[in-house]
Amino acid sequence: MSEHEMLVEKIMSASGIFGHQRKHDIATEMRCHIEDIIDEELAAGHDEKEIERLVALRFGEPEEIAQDFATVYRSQRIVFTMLSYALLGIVSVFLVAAFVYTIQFGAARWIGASTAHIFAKSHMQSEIPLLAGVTFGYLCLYFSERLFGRKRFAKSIAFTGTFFIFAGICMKLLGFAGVAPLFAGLLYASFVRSLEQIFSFSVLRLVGVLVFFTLIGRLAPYFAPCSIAWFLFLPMYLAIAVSSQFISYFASIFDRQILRRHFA
Amino acid sequence: MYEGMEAEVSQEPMELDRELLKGSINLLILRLLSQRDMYGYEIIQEAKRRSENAFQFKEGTLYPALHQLQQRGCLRSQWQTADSGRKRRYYSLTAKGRKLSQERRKSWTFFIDAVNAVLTED
Repeated sequence: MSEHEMLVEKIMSASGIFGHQRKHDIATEMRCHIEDIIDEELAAGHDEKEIERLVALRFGEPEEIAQDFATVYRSQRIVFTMLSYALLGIVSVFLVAAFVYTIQFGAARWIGASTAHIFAKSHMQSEIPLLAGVTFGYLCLYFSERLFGRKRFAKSIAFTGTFFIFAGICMKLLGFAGVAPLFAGLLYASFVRSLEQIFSFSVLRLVGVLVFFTLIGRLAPYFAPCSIAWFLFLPMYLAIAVSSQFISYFASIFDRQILRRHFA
Repeated sequence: MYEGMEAEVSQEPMELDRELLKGSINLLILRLLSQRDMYGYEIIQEAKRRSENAFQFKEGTLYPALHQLQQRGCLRSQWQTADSGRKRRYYSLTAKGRKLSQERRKSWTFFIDAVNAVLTED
């Protein structure tokens, strides 16, 4: 990579400009400007080494230019980042709920039990916040880690916990049920994320997640006040275990395809 | 107004106050573009030519200023390919930019007159 290309890359990588096309356009624009400077200095009779120095001198400090760009696009970047996270969260909750309900429905039909329990209001009032807690909790833990430099996991738990406390208070004030399942969901998400921190080997992680949710599925009927038939708890928690792995996959895809490509 | 524009002033023919230039970058861009559409490098060259090399910008810092004006709806841009095959992004003023240019020019003239009036008292 030439010095001039490195200069443009340096600016672009620290500029915080979002959007693949926009980044490409701005890089092209600056690259063409540098080529014009080179032509001008060549015509003035400077040699290659001198031209390199003059380009750097004339174009300015890349950090400073990047900082100015970051200021220009800051508000748009914040809005689009928030929208992207919100969209990821909503789509993930929807997919997880669809999967968990399909498994429960299939399990009930398979053993010839009534499916009315699954869609009962009391059950949904606790299960939807639980699934939302697992999904949003996981995503919040996953992405908030990068806000911190040291002790990232502990700080992300503190950050996510604060966010959930705020959400719980809002739910209480607005009269929504399901605050406890929401926090249970966060607890499960924290466990899944902890396993990911401990085991780099994915099979061990998967086994850990399955064992954990099987235990929860076996114990939950003794503690849960909702009306769902006890035999549906185990499939439900196993479906959550599988879903947690889906969420992990969605998060990494989102990170690679959206965040790193458009916002990095 | 865009404050981040870095401008370096040549020693010839006279050293200008860097701070004085800071707040005037948008005005310079708007005024130059009110004459005709230009691309970044051309804006720099034109500013140098008209100021007889008094303004020597750090050229890369022009782009955040241009993009901020575009974000605010004062400029629009269009890609064109030169005969050399090099791509140029030409900037032009929008109606809002034209209005802003006139307003800035008026306030600048008012400011200069006021400063001159004070200075001539000496």
